[in-house]
Amino acid sequence: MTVSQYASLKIEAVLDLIYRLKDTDFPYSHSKDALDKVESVFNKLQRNLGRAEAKGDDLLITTVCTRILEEIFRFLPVIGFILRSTNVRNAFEVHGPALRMSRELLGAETKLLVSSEWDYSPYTYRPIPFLKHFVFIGLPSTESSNPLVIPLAGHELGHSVWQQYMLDTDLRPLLQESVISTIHTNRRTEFKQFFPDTSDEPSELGNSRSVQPAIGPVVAWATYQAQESFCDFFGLKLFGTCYLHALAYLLAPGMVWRPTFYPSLFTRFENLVTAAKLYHIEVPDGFENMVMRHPLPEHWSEREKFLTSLADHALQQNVGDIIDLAKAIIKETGIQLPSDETANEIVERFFKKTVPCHGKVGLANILNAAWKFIGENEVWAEYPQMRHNERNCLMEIVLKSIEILEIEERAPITP
Amino acid sequence: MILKADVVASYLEEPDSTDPLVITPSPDIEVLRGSGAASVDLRLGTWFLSLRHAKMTCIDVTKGEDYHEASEKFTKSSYIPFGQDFILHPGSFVLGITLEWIRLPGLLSGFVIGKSSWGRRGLVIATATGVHPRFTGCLTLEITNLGHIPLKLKPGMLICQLFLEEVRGSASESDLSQFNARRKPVLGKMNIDDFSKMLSEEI
Repeated sequence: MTVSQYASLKIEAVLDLIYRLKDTDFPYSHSKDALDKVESVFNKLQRNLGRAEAKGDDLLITTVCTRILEEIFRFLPVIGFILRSTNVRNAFEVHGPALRMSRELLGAETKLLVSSEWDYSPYTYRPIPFLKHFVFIGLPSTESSNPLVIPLAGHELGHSVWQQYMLDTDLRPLLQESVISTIHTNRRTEFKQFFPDTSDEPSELGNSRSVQPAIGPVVAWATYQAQESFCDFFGLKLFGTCYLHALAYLLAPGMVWRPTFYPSLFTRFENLVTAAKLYHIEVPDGFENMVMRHPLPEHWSEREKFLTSLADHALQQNVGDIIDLAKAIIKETGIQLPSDETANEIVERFFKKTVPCHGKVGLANILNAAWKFIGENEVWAEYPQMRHNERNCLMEIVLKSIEILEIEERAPITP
Repeated sequence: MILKADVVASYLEEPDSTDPLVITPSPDIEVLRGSGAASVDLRLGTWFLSLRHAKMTCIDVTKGEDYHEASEKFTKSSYIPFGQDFILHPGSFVLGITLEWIRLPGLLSGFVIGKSSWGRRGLVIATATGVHPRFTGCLTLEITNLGHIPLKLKPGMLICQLFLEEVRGSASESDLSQFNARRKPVLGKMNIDDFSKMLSEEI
C-alpha cells in the first residue's frame, strides 16, 4: 500500500468515529457544533487528498498526507473532549449560566463545552484553528459533578480572555525589561558564570539575537507565569472568595514538582492573598498556610534554577500590574460581581432551609454561599436521614439553584 | 383536609417562616390564589432515569440488592435540556422528576397525581406518590405511556399536580425518606422487612 492509501484509510477511520459520535445524546448543542466543525476539517482534507491524487503530484500528495496526520494528532484529543462533555456525570446545569458569563466576557458568538477530563488539573485548550469562538473547559472527572470547583472555570476563562485581548503582546516587553534589569543589577556574576560568552550589557540583552538563547526562555517562562497569574486574579475577581476555596480544595498542600513556566503554588497563593486584599475579597481562614514553600527541585541544574529564579522574579516585579489588569478587564465587561451580602442572604434564606435559592442572584453568589454553608452541619440535624450525606445534599441544592438561575433567565416565573 | 389553592398561596407567601412551604420555581401566586383549584400544578424537570432492559432478567428485590449497584447496573440517566424532547413510546416506563424543588413544613403532607389532560392522552404519572412532612427535594415521577401513540415530553411542561393536606401529630418528627434532597430521579432501595422475610421462607 502507498502512503496516500494509508492516509485515506486513516481519514475514513476518523470520519467513521465522528459519524458514530454524532449519534450520542448531546446535552447541549455546542458539543455537536464542535463535532460538526471537526468533521468539516476532515471532509476537506479528504477532498484535498482526492484532488492531489488526481493530479498525480507526489510532492502535493505527501504534503496533504502530512497535513492529515498533523490534524489527526491535533483533533483526536478534541474529539475525546467533545465526547466526555456529554457524560451524564457532568453538572450540566452549570452550562447555561457559565455560557452567559463566557459571552459577557468574550462576545455573543462564544460557544462553551464543559467536560470531565482524565487530567486532575483543570485546563482549557489554547485557540484551536477552525474552532474559533469555542471555549473548552475541562474539570477533573472526579470532580465533574461537584459545583464547588466551578469557580476554577473562571481561571480557564481567563486564558481565553488573555488570548482575545492579546495580553502576551502587552506584558512580554515588561517582563523582558524586568529580566534584563535584574541580571544587570543583581545577578550579573551568575549570568556571566552560566553564559560566559554572552554580553550582559542591558542594551545587548534586550536587542541582540545572540543573547536570546540565554534570556529568551526566561522571558517565555515569565510570560506563561504572568498568564497563569492573570488567570488566577481573573477567577478571583469573577468569583470572589469561593475561587480561593476551590483552588485550595483541589491543590493544597501542593507538591514538590513544578514546571518552570508555572509560578510555584506557594507564590500563587501568596499573590492571590495580595490580590484579594486589593479587590476587598475575604480570604478563607488559614489560606496562606495551606501550601508549603518548596525549594526549586534538586534534580534541576544550577543554570536551570538560575533561569527559573529570573522568571519568578520578573513575575513578582509585575504582579501588581497584572492584578490591576484583571480587575480592569472585568470592570470593562460590566459583569455582575459577587457580593458577600448576597451570599450570606442565600445561606440564611435558602440553604439553611434546605432549599435552592432564586432571585437572579448570579452564579458566583450561589457558589460563595455554598462554600460558606458547607461547614454548617447543625442544619442537617433536622434531617437525620441526610446526616452522613450532607455534602451530596448540598451539591444537589446548589446545582438546583444554578438550574433555577438559568430558568429565571429564560422565563422569569419566580416572583 | 386538602388545602385549596388560596391557602397554599398563603403558605407560599411566608418563605421566611422558620418552617416554610417552598415550591421553587414558584408558581405565580396570584394565578394560584385565583385558580379555585385544590392542587398546585408541577412541571417536568430535565433528568430522566430508564431501566436497562438488556441488563436484567427480572427485578428481584428479595435478594437484598445493593442500592448503588442496582442504580449503576440497571438504570440509565438522561439529561434533556430545555428546548429538547423526550419521546415516550407506547408501553414505555421512565422515571422523571419535577422541575420544582418542594419543601414541606412539619404539618403538611401531600400526594402527587397526573393531570387528567395528560391521562386522556395515555400518560400516567404513578398512582399517588405520597410526600411526607419535612420532605425536601424534587419529586420522582413514575411516568408510563399507556396509549398507542408516542408522546413528546418537554422539560418545563406542566405534567402533574400536587395536593397538600394538613397532618396531625408532632411536627418535629422527621421524614425518613431516602428520596430527600435529590434533583435527579432515583431508583431507591427497597427494604424487605423481617415480617416479609419470615413469610417468604418455605416450610
